[in-house]
Formats: sequence, structure tokens, C-alpha cells
Amino acid sequence: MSIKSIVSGLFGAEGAQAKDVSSRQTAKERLAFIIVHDRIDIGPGKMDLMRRDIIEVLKKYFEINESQMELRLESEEGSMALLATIPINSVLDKNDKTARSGCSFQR
Amino acid sequence: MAPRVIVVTSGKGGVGKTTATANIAAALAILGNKVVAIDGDVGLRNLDVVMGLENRIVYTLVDALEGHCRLNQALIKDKRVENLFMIPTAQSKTKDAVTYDQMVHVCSELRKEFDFVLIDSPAGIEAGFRNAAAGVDEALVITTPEVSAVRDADRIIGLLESMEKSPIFLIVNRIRPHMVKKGDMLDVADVLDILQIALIGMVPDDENVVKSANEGRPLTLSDDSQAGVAFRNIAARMTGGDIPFMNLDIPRKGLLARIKDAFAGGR
Repeated sequence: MSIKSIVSGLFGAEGAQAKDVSSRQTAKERLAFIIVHDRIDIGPGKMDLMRRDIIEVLKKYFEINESQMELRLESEEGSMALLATIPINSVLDKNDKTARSGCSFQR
Repeated sequence: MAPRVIVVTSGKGGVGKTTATANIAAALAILGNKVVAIDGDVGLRNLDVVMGLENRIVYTLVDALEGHCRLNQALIKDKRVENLFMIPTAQSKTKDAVTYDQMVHVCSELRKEFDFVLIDSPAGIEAGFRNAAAGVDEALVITTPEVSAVRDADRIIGLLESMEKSPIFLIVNRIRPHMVKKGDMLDVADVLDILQIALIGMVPDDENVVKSANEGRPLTLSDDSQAGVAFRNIAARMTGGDIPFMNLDIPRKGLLARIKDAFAGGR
């Protein structure tokens, strides 16, 4: 046994406080994710396909930052929601091919 | 009081369905109810040994269904407590030996005689579970504070809801307060957050459960072990008792105790 563990035992700095994230917290987050997918019967693979489809649609209207796009299912009080965070670089305007944000791009 | 027919189930195996069935059945009988516990796990029967009634089996549920005896000949009376009965199942048959309709019929027959009919369901979500749940109104779902057990409990709750069972109550079994305190185990609030159903009991992990199964004597029949008290509380809540939940928090230790623990490499 190390001196450190004796000292931390003395001061009660055990477990949750000592570690950055407790395994309990990890378990809870993993479970929330797993169960939300179990309930609507859509696995991570299908989510990926959907994400690609959504990107295809959005690309017609926006220039988006795909790498920072976030798509996830959440459940609260028994109801479920699909939450998406999609950073938009600029809006595509079919008449005016310059972006409103001012940055130009090619399409 | 209208008879209550309840399945004890979990999805995942090994979380304590049979232990819960035996202990709650005995506790309900002690409270003055006429109770029968049925082993619903055809081919892997265990309720008989956990209750310590294995030497008294003459006929089984399957014998009754196949017409080799009357249903009440398969009933074993527990001599340790008034009004407690058990119906064993067959060990040498498979799940196909019992059908959905037969279980509905058995439950409706037993309703006439008993205040409580508890059915110990097999693990899984297949025919065995569906048969066990066929003739019941209510369900007790058992889980432990582990990711796999909670996930399976969620699945089974969904199935019970689709079968229109109500109410469905949750029992969180095998809680280790020291691990919860250290952040190494889900606590009951975490499990409820995930599963979103009503809690009827929390049972601490208790070595006495193993001992009682060794001896074939449900804890609720006698001793004051923590698990025994927890199961008795569940039975009391099932019959309308307003029993506060057991406090499973570890009291914060004084400095001296912590010094001792630290040098013992303790928790």
C-alpha cells in the first residue's frame, strides 16, 4: 500500500473525488445511450447512414461543417428527441452565388 | 381483496428472480395472505430448492397440465408458515411442455383460491417468459445496478407494457453501498432515471442470501438480515403498507475509523 493511498484514505479523498470520472458516471452515460437506441431499434450504424443522408439534403441549402456536426438521440421523461447541432459556414443562395457571411465559395 | 397475479421477471439471468420470488412469497404469507409461488422455469427449476421444498415434490405443474394429476395435487404446502404454497415445474421437460393458454388457465384457476399468485419467470424474452407472464396482471421487475442488467430490464419493461401488464414495479437487487459511495456502482436514483418506472424495493447485496439458499430457508421466514428486511418491506408495500425505503447510505466515518481503514487498506 502506498503512502498516497493511506493519506487519501485518511482525508476521505477516495473514489469519486480522486478520479476524474467515476465508473458509475460512465455506466450511467453508456446506459442512457444504449437504451435510447434499443428503444427505437436504431443502431449506431443506421445513425451514421441517416447522418450522411441529412448532410446530403443540407448541402443543397447550406455549406456546413461536417466534421463538427453532432447528431444524437436523447431521452427525457420517457419521450425521445433527435438533437442535431450543425455548424453552418454559409448559406447557399441560388441567385446570388456569394455567401451572406461574406466568404465566397465554389459549388 | 381481489386476488393478485404477478410475474417476477428480469430479462437477464442471475439477478435474483428466484430469491425474490421465494422471499416475497414467504413474507406475504407471514402478513396473513394465502400465497402460491409457481416455478415458471420449465427444465431449469430452482424455486423448489431455494424454498427448501425439493423433497416434497410428487407432481409438477406439467403433470397437472398433461392430466396426470389435478392442479391442487401439484400444490406443496410449506409447513413453516401458514398459507404458503409452491407449485414446482418439471425438470426433465422443455419450455414447449407448457403453452400460453395453459398458463392463462392455471392462473384463472388459482385466482379462486389464493390472495397472491407469484410466478417466477425464466430469464430471456422468449416463449418461457411470455408463458410465465401470460395469465398475470402485474409484474415485479428485478435488476441489479449493472449496465447489462439494467439494459435487459428496460427491454423486459417494454415487453410487459406492450402486453398491458400494470402496475409494473422495479426492485433493485444486490446494491453494494460501499461501491455506490465510491462512485463505482450505479445508485438507485441512476437506475430509476434510466428505467422510468416506480420503485418498490431496494435490496442490499447480502451474504445471507447465499446461506439461506444453502439451507433452503427464505430469509423472510426468520432472520433480520438486511436482505430479509428489504424483502419483507417489499411485501408490506405490495399490500399497501407505507414503508420508508431502507437507508443504504454508509455513515460518514469518524477520523479514528478512517485511520484504521487507511492502514488496513480498507474502503
